Amino acid sequence: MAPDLRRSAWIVIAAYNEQPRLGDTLARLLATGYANVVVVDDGSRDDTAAVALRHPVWVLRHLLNLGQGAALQTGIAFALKRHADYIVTFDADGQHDPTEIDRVLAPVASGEADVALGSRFLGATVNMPFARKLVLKGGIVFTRLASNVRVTDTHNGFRAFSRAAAEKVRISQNRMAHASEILDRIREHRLRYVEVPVTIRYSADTTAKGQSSWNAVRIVFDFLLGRAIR
Amino acid sequence: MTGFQWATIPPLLLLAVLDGSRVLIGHPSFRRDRLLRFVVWLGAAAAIYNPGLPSWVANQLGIDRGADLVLYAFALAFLAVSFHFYAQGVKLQRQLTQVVRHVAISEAEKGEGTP
Repeated sequence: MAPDLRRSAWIVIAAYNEQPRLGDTLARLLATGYANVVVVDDGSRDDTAAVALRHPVWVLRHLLNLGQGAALQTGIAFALKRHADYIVTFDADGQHDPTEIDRVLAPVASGEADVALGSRFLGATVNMPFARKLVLKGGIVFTRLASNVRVTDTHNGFRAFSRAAAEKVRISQNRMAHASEILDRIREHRLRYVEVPVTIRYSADTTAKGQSSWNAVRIVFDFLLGRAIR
Repeated sequence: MTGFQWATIPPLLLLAVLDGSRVLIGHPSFRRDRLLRFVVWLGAAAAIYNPGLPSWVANQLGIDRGADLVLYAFALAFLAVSFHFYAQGVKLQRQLTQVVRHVAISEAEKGEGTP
């Protein structure tokens, strides 16, 4: 990847109570050479912000815990204000592989697509619980019905946006329904998208902290009602 | 009129007049809500004045009893009010998000959290 892309692309990380994992994630991420990283501490109760401040990254702090969607939109808005040409969203918990950022960003940087969506089902998963797989597959079916967008992985936080696309995809769903909302916005604005194979590594730690499978019901509820309320 | 009718109908009519007058001269953005309340106050007053009225309306709609019509109306009203308050909550949360986001970005731009 060209060195100037490593300066014009901004990596946005939403973090909530990620003190044990964030340091390692940032160290591995910064080793790839991306200079602009923004961590949005979403009202964590632990020392997430302090961990982030030990690294050469921008740290934004939400006074309250609003949710991952809100934190991502804050990071995206900040990156756009700082003249980002490309924006990559990346998970704080170390599930994503930073060496794959180049691959995710490539279709957007080349102009082939406005949005690149990471897909664990085109790529690989390590230690994914069966219940999680089942819920994610259900999410794919739901997205096809609700948004008429055909993707293989609907709730993958590894994405890349062109500046123009990031300006159009304004996330209003504060919590986890933002992933469905992004796909909805892609359809609404007729953005060109591609899916890129990525690897997701689950650990006991991240699985325990992550969303419960039952939360899928709330995501559907939030998404459908949130769409009705403008 | 019975004592109950005397106790309830005048206040309901007063509320109907208040909301009805505001429909005509009030702020346009609240017109729909006030019109809805006007209809509810007037309907309640009419049903209390003439208890046979709900049964008559129920029969016109193919429902057996007036009491069933009132129950169905309450169930629908409950759903509508629940959605209304949920929507208000969502809108308030969105406004709060804007404030929190503004503070977070402003503080970062002032130099806090600079790499």
